Order: sequence, then structure tokens, then C-alpha cells
Amino acid sequence: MATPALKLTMLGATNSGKTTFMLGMYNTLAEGMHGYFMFTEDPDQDLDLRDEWNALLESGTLPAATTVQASRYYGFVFNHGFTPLVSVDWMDYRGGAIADRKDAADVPVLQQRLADSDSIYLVLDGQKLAPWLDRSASLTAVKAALGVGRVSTLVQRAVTERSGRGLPVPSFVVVVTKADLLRGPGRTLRAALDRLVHEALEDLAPIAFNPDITALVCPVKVGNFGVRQDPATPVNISDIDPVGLHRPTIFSLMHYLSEGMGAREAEQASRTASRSAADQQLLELNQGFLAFFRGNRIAAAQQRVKDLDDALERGRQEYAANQNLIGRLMQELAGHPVIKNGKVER
Amino acid sequence: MLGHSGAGKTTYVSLMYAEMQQGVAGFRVQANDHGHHEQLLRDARQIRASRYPPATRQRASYDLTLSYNGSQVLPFTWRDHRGGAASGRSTDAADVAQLTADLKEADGIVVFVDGAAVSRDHAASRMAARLSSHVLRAMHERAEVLTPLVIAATKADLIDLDDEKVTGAIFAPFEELAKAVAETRHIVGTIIPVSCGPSPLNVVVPVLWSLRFGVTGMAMRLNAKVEASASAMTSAAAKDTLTDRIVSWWRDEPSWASIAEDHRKAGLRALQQLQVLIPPAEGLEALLEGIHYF
Repeated sequence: MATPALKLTMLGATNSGKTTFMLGMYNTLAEGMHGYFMFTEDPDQDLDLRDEWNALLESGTLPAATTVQASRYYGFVFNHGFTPLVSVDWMDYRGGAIADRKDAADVPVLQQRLADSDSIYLVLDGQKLAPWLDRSASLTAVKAALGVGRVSTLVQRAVTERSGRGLPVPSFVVVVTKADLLRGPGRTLRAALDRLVHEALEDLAPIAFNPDITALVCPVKVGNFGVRQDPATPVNISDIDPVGLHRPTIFSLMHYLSEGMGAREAEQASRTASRSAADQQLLELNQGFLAFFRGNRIAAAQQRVKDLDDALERGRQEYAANQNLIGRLMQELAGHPVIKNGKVER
Repeated sequence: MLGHSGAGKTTYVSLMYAEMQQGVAGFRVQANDHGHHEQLLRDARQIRASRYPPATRQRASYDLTLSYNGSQVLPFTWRDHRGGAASGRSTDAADVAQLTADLKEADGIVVFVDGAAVSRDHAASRMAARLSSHVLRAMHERAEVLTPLVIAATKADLIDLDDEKVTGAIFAPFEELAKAVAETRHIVGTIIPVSCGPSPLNVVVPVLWSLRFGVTGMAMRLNAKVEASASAMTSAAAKDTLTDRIVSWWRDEPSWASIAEDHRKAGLRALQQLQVLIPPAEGLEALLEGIHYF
């Protein structure tokens, strides 16, 4: 079975924590978690990502924000054990891109990238959401602070373009960083997440409720760093405690495989129909006295039936393997809110 | 061999060679190149006198042959990379890309970590964990080929091997990798404390573990050859007719009978080669009995 290739784009405002999330995600998975592994196709990228992570672990230095000029591309391979599940073309889009005016030079590039993406992440800064959860700031003020106003429009355009090209709708993940700050007095992380999903998300990212889209809301944290006024200040290394960083990638893969299941079912149905037609042809060739003179055609038809049987069996095995894998991936996401057909599920 | 600078790879290859030269339960290793033979033995003498060789500056490749009770069994190549190659960028040095390419081609991988440093230092432990990505990348995109993986925790003479906290700390960077290996059928791994100082410990285990699967792999290939030859012989023999013999003789072409005979001879040759491998395979199995694997 060929390893699927998944294109993933991560959007978020400057200092939302998206680069730190990606760094934590990679380094957690590079050493392996619950049997899942990630490595870079290019060994040099592995060194860059590990060096930045080590700087955080050793001196509390958080990675620099993706600069205005430079978005970053990574080529990852995501494995279960030694079995490759998916190769990921990951783009960490520069922070300012989603706030740019639509005539900014690279906005068309971003739009194209989104239209090519199988999965889109919107990274929301948990520190900026906390005042709304504490009821000390309005949702309008928080929305302005998060700087994500145009994301839904950009993603909706991408969805429309992909549908026009006959491509599946991308999965959408709302990654809420600095999840330690979502908790508050008498408020659990789960309660905070429920309130976010039911009372704010439709305003912050209405695209998540688009009936065509399946979205995951996933809190993540690299550590319990508390409220930080200056993102450049080093964090206390004893507070580093990564949680949930692998889940967005798990969801992207699960959605990608689930979308592919429909195509596989259609493929199997077409093979079954061809198999019936081939059977019928074989039956007709074997009828009558002329059958003695149709040796070559009968042999060719028999071979075709055999090939179709083999293809059907392979299809059945791949289908079962994918179903099994989707089941395993779902276990990792248990309890996380998923928005499907505009409705929240857990 | 894969490992960072100072893990003891160069020291290991010399001492391993010297020990295998003396012979271990009928097994011996001989360098094909006399210069390599002299150099490795000279370095081993220095190591035994506690004078350790300088770090490898460039990739070294040793062509060696394993023999058992005087009969040659398996030629193999042992590669020693500059330690910095495992943690360097391909843009800085050519040997970094060479290491990646060598690992992809390797029939076995021996990962070297400074066990003493890993047991007490988080930074060393993280450096060791980096090596997992090299192994995963090497195994990616290649068929499920039988591959031995040895994690050699060197400088074991500086480690309290009875302290489970210490041994646990050495294993920790590879715990997830070991679980993943245990779930495969084609990778067989082990972790071994190794000391190359004046009181050597387990020096021959990494090489013999690797060669055990090298011999097994070779036996499996020969077995497949025997089976393929038998099948081809049966198929050719079924087409043998008196007419075919006459027509083939007339056209000066090999007849199905002669093709069947050629397959029989090829199968017999492979079978004879396979039979030669059985005693050393059994010998290695007995020698390595009791070594835990994952």
C-alpha cells in the first residue's frame, strides 16, 4: 500500500504559539509517543528542529516567531512503529499573512496553498482567549486580539475551489495553544473548551461549522508557563510539560483516510461490477460448439476473472487495514470536540 | 556503526577485531586488507594499555570475513563514521549524507551511545534519542529486509549495572524505538552494555549479533534460490519431450532437458552453500543464547 501524501498548512497570528506547537509536536513524536513516530525526510531539518527544542529545554528559549518574510516548509514522515502512515508537506505560514490586506504580495500564494491543502490548522493563542473565559474581555475584543478575522473567508474560498476541482474538503483543526491558561478558578480545561466551542467558535472561526467541513478543537501546551507579557523572555525549564501536541496530526491523518474510504468503496463496487461482467463473458464464451475454438479467448477471460479476484481481495485487505488504523487513531482523540455537519460531537 | 562523537565507535572496532582475531568458540574475523589488520591490532594494543585512539576524522570502511572452524562463512563490511556525521548538517560536510546513504544500505545497524553519560546527563540522553530518527529514516522506503539492530551502551565499566535506575536511564531514550522494533518481524534488536577498557565486557556481542542475522539472511536467500531452482527444474522437465530434444539438437539450442539439468545443478550448488551455513548458524545461536532481544 503506497504511503499517502498529505499537504498541511498552519495559520495563526504572530506569537500565537504555532511555531512552538510545531516544534513540540515534532520533538515529542521524534522520540515516539504511543507507538507513533515522526521524522523529517531531510536530516538537516531534524537537526534544526531538535536544536531549537534543546534551546527550550536547556535555557528556556522559545523559538523565534515565523518572520514576516519567511514561511517555513517541512517534509515529515509519520509512522506507526516502522510502518509509514503518511508523509506530510507541512507549511508554517508566516504569522502576519492572515492579517494582510488582500492585495499583499503573497496572499494569492497563501490562497493557492490553502486550495492545495488536505488539512488546515488555525492556531489560536490561549493566552488571548483567557480574558474572555474570565469574563473580563468581550468576544469582539478577543477576536480582534486573535487577529483571525479573515481565516474563515480564506478557508471557504479554498473549500469552494477544491470542490470545483473534485477534491475532498480539507479537515480543519482549531489548535488552542497555551492550554494551561484556559483553566481558571473553578473552571476545568474541559469546561473552558466547551464554552469556547459552544459560545465563541462560531464567531471566531465560522468555517468550523460549515456543513461540509469536519473540524477538531484541540487544546495543546508545551508547558505551564503562565501569562507572559514578553514572548522573548525565557521560560522556566521546570515548567515544560508537553500535552496533546500529537493529536492535530492524528486527526488530519484520520480525516484523510476517512475521506479516502468513500473512494475505496466506489473502487471496490466498480471492481465487483467488472467481475460480474467478466463472469458473464466467460459463461457466453463457454456456450455452444464454437467454445472448442475459443481456447485463447476463454483463457484470457479466465485470467481477467482471476486478476479481478486478486484486486478485490487486495482492496478488501487495504480497506480493513485502513478501518483498523482509523479506529486506533480515533482512540487518541477520545473526548475532544469534533464539529461535523455543523454540529459538535465528542 | 551509528553514534555521536566520543561514544567509542573507533575504540570498539579495534578491540572487537582483536578479540575476534583470537577466536571465539570457533569463530574468527579476518581483515581482507593487511594494512587494516595491522592498524586494528596496533590500536587494540594501545587501548588495552588505556591509550585510546583519536576520534575518527573521516569514514573508515573495513572489509572483513567471518570464518567458523577454519571455513570462510560470510564476507562483511564494517563502517566507522566520524562521530560528528550523526549530528552534522549535510551542508557542512560530505560525510553526513554518506552516513545517511550507508544506513539505508546497511544489513545491520549498531548504535553506539556513551552509556555512562546517558545514565547521568539529560542532554546526553536527548542526544542519544536523536539517533532513533536516523534508524527510522534508514528503515523507511526499503522492503522488510531482516535487519539486526544493536544498541551498544559503551563505557559500561563506569556504570553500576546492578542499579536499575541507572540501567533504566540508559534504556529510556530508546524505549519507544524498542517497542516499535518488537512489533516488527523483520528487525531484531538488543541493547548491550559494552566496555572496551582494560576489563572488556561484551565486546564481541554486537558484531556476533549482527553476523548471526547476516548468516540467517544469507541462508534465507540461498533457501529461496534452492526453491526457485527446484521449481524451475520441475517446470522445464515437464516440457521435455523427444521431439524437443531432436529439434533443439537440430537448431543448436538448449533443450528443456538440459535447462532442467542446469537448474538442478544451480539448486544443488545453492543447497551445498546452504548446508555450509548450518553449523555456524547453530554455533552463533548457542553463543548468543540468553541475550535478551526486542
